[in-house]
Amino acid sequence: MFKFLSTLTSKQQKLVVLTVPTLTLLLSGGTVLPAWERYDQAKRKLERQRAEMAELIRNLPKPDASRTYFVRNDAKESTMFVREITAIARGAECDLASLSAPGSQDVRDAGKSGGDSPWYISPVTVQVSLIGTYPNVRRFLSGVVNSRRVYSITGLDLRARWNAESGSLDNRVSAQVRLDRYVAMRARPSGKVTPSTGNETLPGMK
Amino acid sequence: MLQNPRPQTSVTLAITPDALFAVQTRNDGGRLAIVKSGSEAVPPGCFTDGSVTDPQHLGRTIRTLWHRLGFKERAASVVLPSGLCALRAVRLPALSAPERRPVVRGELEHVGALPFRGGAFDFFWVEEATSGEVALAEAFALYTHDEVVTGIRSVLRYADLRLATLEPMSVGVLRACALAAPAEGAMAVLCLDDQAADFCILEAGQVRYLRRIPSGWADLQAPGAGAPDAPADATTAVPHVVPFLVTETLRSVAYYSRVRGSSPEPAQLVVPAVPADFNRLASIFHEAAVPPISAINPQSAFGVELLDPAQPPSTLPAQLLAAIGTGAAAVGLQTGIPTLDLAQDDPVTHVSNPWSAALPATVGASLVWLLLAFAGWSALTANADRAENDRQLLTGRTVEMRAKQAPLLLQEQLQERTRTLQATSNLPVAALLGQVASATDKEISVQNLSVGIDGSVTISGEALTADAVQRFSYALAMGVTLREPRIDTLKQDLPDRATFRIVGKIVPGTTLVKNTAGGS
Repeated sequence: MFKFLSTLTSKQQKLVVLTVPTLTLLLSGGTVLPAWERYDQAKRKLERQRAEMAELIRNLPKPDASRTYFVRNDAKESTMFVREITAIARGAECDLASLSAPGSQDVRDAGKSGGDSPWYISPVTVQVSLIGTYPNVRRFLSGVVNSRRVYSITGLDLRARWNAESGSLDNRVSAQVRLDRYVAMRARPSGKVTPSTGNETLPGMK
Repeated sequence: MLQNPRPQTSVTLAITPDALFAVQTRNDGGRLAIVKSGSEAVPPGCFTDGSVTDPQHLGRTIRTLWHRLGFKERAASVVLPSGLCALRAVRLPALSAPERRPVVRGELEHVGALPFRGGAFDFFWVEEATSGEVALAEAFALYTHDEVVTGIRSVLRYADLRLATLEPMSVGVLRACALAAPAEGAMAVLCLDDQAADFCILEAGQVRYLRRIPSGWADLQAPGAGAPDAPADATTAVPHVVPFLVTETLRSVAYYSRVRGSSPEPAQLVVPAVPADFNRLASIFHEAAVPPISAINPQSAFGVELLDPAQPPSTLPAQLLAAIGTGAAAVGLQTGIPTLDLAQDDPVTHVSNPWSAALPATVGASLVWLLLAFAGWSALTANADRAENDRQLLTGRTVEMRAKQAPLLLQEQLQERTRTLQATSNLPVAALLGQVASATDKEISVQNLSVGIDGSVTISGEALTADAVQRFSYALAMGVTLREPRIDTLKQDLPDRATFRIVGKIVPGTTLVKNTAGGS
């Protein structure tokens, strides 16, 4: 090629000397700069993805497994609830008289879980009637508070009982405990939640 | 000091638009010998308007001729047609040899014959007889454009040859005439080309006078150019006129005789021509008072066959003689006519063309730059692809991890919601019962205790005395669960029996603490 270049006239050589570096610069700039931008963009995206991954690993969800905060609202839920309350009452040496839902009060709040999740937390109010000594009732309440499943005690009505045989106050009291249990339920497409009936009565209760 | 030995043989090329001729000469102990000669037709399109337009093709043609004739030379001298160079005479004071070339260039540049620091030229330096106190000299300069020299060089490069000398045709013819017909006195030589003729006077084998006459074979061969044997047609008859070439030749001889009064007049006028052309020329010149005219051709003078004897072009003898004459100088024959090389290195023109020096470096650097740019582009593209692949892989893993974490995340969110709900609704009734139990003494009988959903607490019962009720209320106030207890009603129904009702408030509070230790 240099042999060919030496055959050019001085004007052609001048043209080549001026145009070849210019074209070279333009060509190299036109190829290298877009490649650099593409590389830089890809690198930034990769860094963002790495940071997102690190954030994901750093903020791993750690749900509390020591307690049962809510139970999915299915057919077994009410049975499990009655069984646990019965066990607590039995442990507190209280007689469980009745267990009923107060009707319209059963759903006070429907807390959405957040994000796009269709799951909601709904408190289901239950009224438990039981008979026992004052310390036993207190033990029952402590048992409810410290049970594995989470409940909220939202009301209490404690009354002394009259013993007609002895003509004096009985050492046992009747207590009506109002408590909430929490169930998780799915929202309907309309956005309304499906509350549990919460009306469970154990056969043979006093 | 060692001198470069002259080559034993030399090849000279005469290039015309129709054919190129090669003559190989040799110095046989001071005598010129023609070793080989040959020609090759020039492919059409190699020449346009007298300049080389396809050097590559022409170079291949020279190479073909080279192989056919078996030449081993790596360099060639070239005869430049008169039409591609110009001639100008410059009168100057007598100068030393090193001063002559810059001064002649300056004069040629001054009159615009040469571009500033450009062009190619060489000259004959003829000292004149001293007139008065100033010694004068005349420089007969032949010059041409850079493009012509570059074109010839490029043609030879394509033929893998080096340009030895580039000599105007008329100079080669003069040398050939000096070799063929050495004369003691003066001799005029008229070297005709198609469009121009160089008139020269040799004296004792040295150039004394040289001028360009702008008329050549083309003018002489025009109808009615003054030839008495021209066809005398009644309708196309052209008035007999003395051609411009003849009058200028006569004028040149007269001028030379007047200026160089002490020099002998030329004894003969030699014209390179084939017999047919010479007869025509002689008939034109026969009435003019010129020296006796004679012809010279390469066949008669040097035994070189005319390459196309059937219908040789009028310029062929001059071209072949020029090739022989230039070849004679190339092999070192002394003729008194120095080599007039238009392709010689001229430091002035070298300075004027920095582009040639910068060209290889520029192109080389550009190539290196392009290679580096390509390497950079390749590396960047590969890295970008790798980064993109890594990102896609990472994105897939992130999505997979999010999918795996989604149930745990939902559970955590629902737990948090439950915790919030419980914190706003759970009443510390167990603690309240403990506080009531600890505040109760033997004089107090709590018969009813109710806690409303809003946290309002009502404690009612009986006491033995009102003081007992006050102590009970005070003890309740000492606790932390029941806030602001106050005696709502107090009735002393009997001396040992009082009924009371104490109201207060408990605040909902969570009993749940998030298990930060986590769990599975």
